[in-house]
Amino acid sequence: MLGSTGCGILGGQQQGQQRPLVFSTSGGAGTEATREGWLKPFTKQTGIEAVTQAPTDYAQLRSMVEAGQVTWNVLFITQILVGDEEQARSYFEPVDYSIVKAEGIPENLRRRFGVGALQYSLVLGYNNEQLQEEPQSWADFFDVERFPGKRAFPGSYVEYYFPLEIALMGDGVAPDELYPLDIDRALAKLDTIRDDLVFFEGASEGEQLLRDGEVVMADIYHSRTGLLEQEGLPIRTQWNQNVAVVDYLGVAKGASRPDDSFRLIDFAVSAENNYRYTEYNPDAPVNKDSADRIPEDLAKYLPVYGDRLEQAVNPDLNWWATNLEEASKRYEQWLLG
Amino acid sequence: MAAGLRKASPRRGNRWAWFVLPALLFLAVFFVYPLYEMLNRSFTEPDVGLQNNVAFFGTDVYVRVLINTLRISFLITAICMLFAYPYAYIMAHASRRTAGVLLIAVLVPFWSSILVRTYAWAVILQDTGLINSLLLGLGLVDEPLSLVRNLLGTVIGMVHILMPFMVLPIYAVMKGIDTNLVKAAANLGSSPLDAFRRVYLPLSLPGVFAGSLLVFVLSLGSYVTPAVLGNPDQAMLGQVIVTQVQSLLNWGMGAAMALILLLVTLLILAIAGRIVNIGDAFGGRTTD
Repeated sequence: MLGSTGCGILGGQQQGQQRPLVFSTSGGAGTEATREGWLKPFTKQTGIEAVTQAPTDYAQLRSMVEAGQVTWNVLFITQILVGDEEQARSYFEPVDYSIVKAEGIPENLRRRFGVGALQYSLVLGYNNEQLQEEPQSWADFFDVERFPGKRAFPGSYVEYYFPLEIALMGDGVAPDELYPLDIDRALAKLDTIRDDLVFFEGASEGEQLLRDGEVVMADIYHSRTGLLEQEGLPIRTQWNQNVAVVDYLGVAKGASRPDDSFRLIDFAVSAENNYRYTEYNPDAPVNKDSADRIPEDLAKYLPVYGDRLEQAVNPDLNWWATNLEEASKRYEQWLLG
Repeated sequence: MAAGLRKASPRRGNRWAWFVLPALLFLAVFFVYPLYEMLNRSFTEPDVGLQNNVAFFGTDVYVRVLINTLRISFLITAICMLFAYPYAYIMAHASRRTAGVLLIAVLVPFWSSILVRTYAWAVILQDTGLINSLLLGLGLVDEPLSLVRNLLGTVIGMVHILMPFMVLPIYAVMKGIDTNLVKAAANLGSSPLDAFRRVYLPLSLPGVFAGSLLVFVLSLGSYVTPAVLGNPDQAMLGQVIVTQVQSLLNWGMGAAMALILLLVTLLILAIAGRIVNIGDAFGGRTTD
C-alpha cells in the first residue's frame, strides 16, 4: 500500500524506487522461463524491474480485484477466460494495442483482454518400454486390451486438460465434429476405462506418474513428455490428435502502472523475445517470426514443429465460454462417482 | 462421564479475563468477519436467495460427498483413537527417557509440511513404490497391492497426519491422573482389568473426547491428503469446495458448501456436548 502511494506522489519519475512489476505465472519451469527468458532481458533493456509470482490463482485475483488491492501486473490468462469477455472484463484491463504492437501475432490471437503468447498442446504421452506397440490415437488410449496398464487423467480442471474432447475422440468422433460436445457420450466412454485411470491433481503429479512408471499413458502437456524424453526416460509423445492451446498475456484489472505492464507484454510477444521463454520451458512462441529462431534440437519438441498444428484439434472457445460451468460440473460429478 | 455430570459452579467475575480480549479481537477481525463475509455470499451470489443450498441438496453426488466426508472422518477418528490410547498410556507411564523419545516421535511429523508428508506417502504406497517393490522383489505378491489412490491411501495418510492431535490431549489427561487411585482400587480387591475399566479409563476419557473432537473436525475440512492419496470417488467436501472457489470462481456455491459443512460440524459438536462436557474435555474444569 505504501508502495503504490509512493508511486502516485513521485509520478513514476524515480523508477529505481518503484515497486517492481509483478508477473504471475503458473509455477515450476514456467516461472523460471518467464524470469530468465523475458523479465531479465526486459529489465536490461528498459530499466524497469519485474519479478515473478506463482501460481496464478484466479480466486486470488478475484479477491484482489474486489478488494481494490491488485498487486499483480501481468499474468497468463487461459484462452477460455479470454474468450469469455463477459467474465474477462471483470478481471483484466483491455489490451492497449497502441503499446502492444503484436507484430507477427496472428490476428485471431489479438483479443480484447489478452494477447496470445505461448502455444502448447495436450498430448498422449506414453511409456514405450512398458507398451509393446506405439499408441496412435486417443482410440488406443481407451483400448485397454491392446494397451494394458494404467492411464493418468486429470482429477479436475476440465478446461485445462480437455478430458471430454479426448473421450469423444477415443469414441471415434472426428476432431472437426467434436462441438457441441456430447457430454453424456464422453462420460459414458470414460466409464469404460474408469478402473484403469489414475487421477492427478496437477501437471507435476501427472508428470511424476509417467516418470515413476505408475502409468503407461497420460493426457498431459507436451512440455512434460518432452522434458522426460530429454532426460533419457522412455517417455514419448504422440502428436496425432493433440489438443492445441494458446496461453494469453493480460494485465490485471486495476493494476498499478498499466503502461509499463503493457510495455512488458509488448516485449514478451515480440519477434525478438517471444522465443526466449522456450529456451527454458518448451512451450512454443505464438509469434511466427520468433519460432524460426529456435534451434532444431529444441524445436522438435514443440507443438509448432512440422505439421503438428495441422494435426491438432482446436477447442471451440465459444462453446467453452458458455458451457464451462456445466462441463466442469458434469465432469466433477462423474469423478465423484 | 462422571466429569460430564458435574456442573461448574456459577463463576464470579474474574478480572484476569480481560487478558483474553486481544485474542478475541484478533479472532473477530481476522476470522469471524471474513467468515461472515464468505458465508454471506452463499445467500447472495449469484442472486439473493437459497439457490446455492437448494442446488447442493438437489445434487445427489454432493450429498453423497458430504456423507462420505462424515464417514471417513469418523473412521479416521476411530483409528486414531485405537492407536493413540495405548501409545499415550505408555508415554504417560514410561520412564522419562522413553517418554521423551515417544513424544519426539509424535512431534517430528509436525515439523514438515503436510504436502511433503502426503507425497512421501504416495511414493511409499504407489504401485512402483517402496512397499510394492519390496513385496514384488521378495516374490510375496505377483501384482502390486492397491495401497493408494483409494480409501486405504486416504486413511493411512490422514491417520498419520492427525495422530498427534489425538495422542497429545490423551497424554496430557493421563499425566494428571493420580495413579494412587488405581492402587487404591487394587487394594480394595479389584482385578487389574477392573481397576483400569472402572477407575483409570473414566478418568482418561476427557482426553479421548478432546482428541476425538480435534481429529474429527480437522479431518472434515481436509482436502490435500484425500486429493493426493485418495480416489475421486471417495472425495471429501473440502476438495469439492476448492474446485468451486478456485477453478470455477463460483464463490457462492463454495461458500454454501462451507456453510453446510460448518453447520453439520456444529450439530455434531452439539450432540457430542450433550454426552460429554466439552469444556471438561479441553481442561476447562475449575478446580474449585
